[in-house]
Amino acid sequence: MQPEHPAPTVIEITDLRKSYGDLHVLKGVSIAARQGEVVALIGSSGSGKSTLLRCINMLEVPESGTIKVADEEIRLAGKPPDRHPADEAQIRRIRSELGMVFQSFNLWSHMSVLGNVMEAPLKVQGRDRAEVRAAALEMLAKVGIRDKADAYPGQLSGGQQQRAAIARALCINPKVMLFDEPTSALDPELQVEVTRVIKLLADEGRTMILVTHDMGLARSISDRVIFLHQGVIEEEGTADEIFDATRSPRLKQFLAAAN
Amino acid sequence: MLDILPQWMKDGIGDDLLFWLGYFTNGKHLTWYASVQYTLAAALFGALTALVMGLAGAALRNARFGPARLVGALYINMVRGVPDVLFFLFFPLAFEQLVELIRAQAVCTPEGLAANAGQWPPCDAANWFLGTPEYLALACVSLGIVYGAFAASVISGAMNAVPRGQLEAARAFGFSRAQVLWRFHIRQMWIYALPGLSNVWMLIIKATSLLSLLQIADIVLWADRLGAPNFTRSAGLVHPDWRWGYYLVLLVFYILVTFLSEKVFAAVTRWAGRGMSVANPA
Repeated sequence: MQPEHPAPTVIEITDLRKSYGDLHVLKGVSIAARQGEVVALIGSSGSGKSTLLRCINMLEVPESGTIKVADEEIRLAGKPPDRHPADEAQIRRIRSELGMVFQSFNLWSHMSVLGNVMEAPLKVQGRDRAEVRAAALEMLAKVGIRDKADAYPGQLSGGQQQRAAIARALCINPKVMLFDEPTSALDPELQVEVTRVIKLLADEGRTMILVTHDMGLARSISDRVIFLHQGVIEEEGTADEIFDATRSPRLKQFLAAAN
Repeated sequence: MLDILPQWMKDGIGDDLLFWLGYFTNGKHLTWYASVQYTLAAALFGALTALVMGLAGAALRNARFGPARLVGALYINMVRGVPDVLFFLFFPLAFEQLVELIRAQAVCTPEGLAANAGQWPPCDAANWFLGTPEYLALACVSLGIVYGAFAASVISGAMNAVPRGQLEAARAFGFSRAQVLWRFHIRQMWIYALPGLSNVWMLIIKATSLLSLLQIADIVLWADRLGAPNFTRSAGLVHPDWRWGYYLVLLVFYILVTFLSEKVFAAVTRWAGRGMSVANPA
């Protein structure tokens, strides 16, 4: 069912190119995500899907192409390899609206779980401490580790750490959630608890861009799936189109290997 | 000193003990005890300076600007090889004469210059008299420069040991460069740097025994004076060469300081590493 007026575009990436030396990782990729949409990026290792995600908040700076977040283009300056965001204030503001979840969790190990969740809202967004604390505890409750608020990351299991990382990303009230292989570093039994949280967020109608190797997850929550192969989009469509009506032989091969 | 005690107390203590009590509380011994303050001040402020120099040196060493990196590398690699005794002799003297040279440009008259021709300072008016506080400050700076190079090396390595992913996460959440540096990078650096810094602290403690090179009447100089064979015109030989005993007291003092330092460092390490798996491998 298509809505009469489509939701506004939150992320718009046009003709993105990125290379490391002679290795061309992205060779002109354009994608867009509308508000409330869940977009999954799939592809084999080295296909450029993680690099593409990391370009959105400029953890990797592309050589050419544009990235718009909520219709605001991220301004870049300089020639590669010294290309960098032109406006430090702008990139910080945009980053503070994008909730990133990493494959290796990357929780700050010198802070408690609650400290991790409260840090960016307090120090980047400058919000009120009491409000942030209440919001942080609510997010921890949502991901099911409210009782671990005072524990340190080193005392948690991998699944609990990743759920804490998700709570940390949620607490900044992001316009978009960016997931970079959120379950790849976890044992299968721990993947389940993280997957459950990601599904919950998808059901809430959050805008999410998800890089994943978990085809079951991609299929169950995605509005749109993008298959990247060697730095270009090989096939793009709804989850049903991608998984049940596969056209590209490369994607067929990839899915056969993934299952 | 003992004169203030009432007679009944003196009787109770007994003559032998009273003699030794009197001996160890005479004016020179009290000055000796008080001179511990110079040693401790040099250690604390020297260490503080070394820490600042270490942070600055490490920042230069890891800077993105090429020439800054070169300066940092030069400082760390050259100064670590300089003998501390030599630098202790060189730096305060060179600094004093530099100040006198600069002062001479302003205050010396032609007559004054002519009177001091071929001598130092260039003229009497330019002479800078250094007392113990000034020498102590110069000693702290000397310690800071020499051991700052060690601290810089330790801190530079520790900065590189902080997990990259956590710094990347901080950037991804919109923290500024300065916030990432101070709230995450330097905050986490300590746990990797503390074992090395505790070594540097021990070296600084040991180097405080060099204060007498700078005319500071520190614990070593006083132990030397008090232990030497002691004649007086009225009493004859008060005691023969007792230096070994006084040096032994210094050895015990340094061992106690070392022991205490290790306790403090263990506590600081526990604090800096609370919750971090590097500190609690279990």
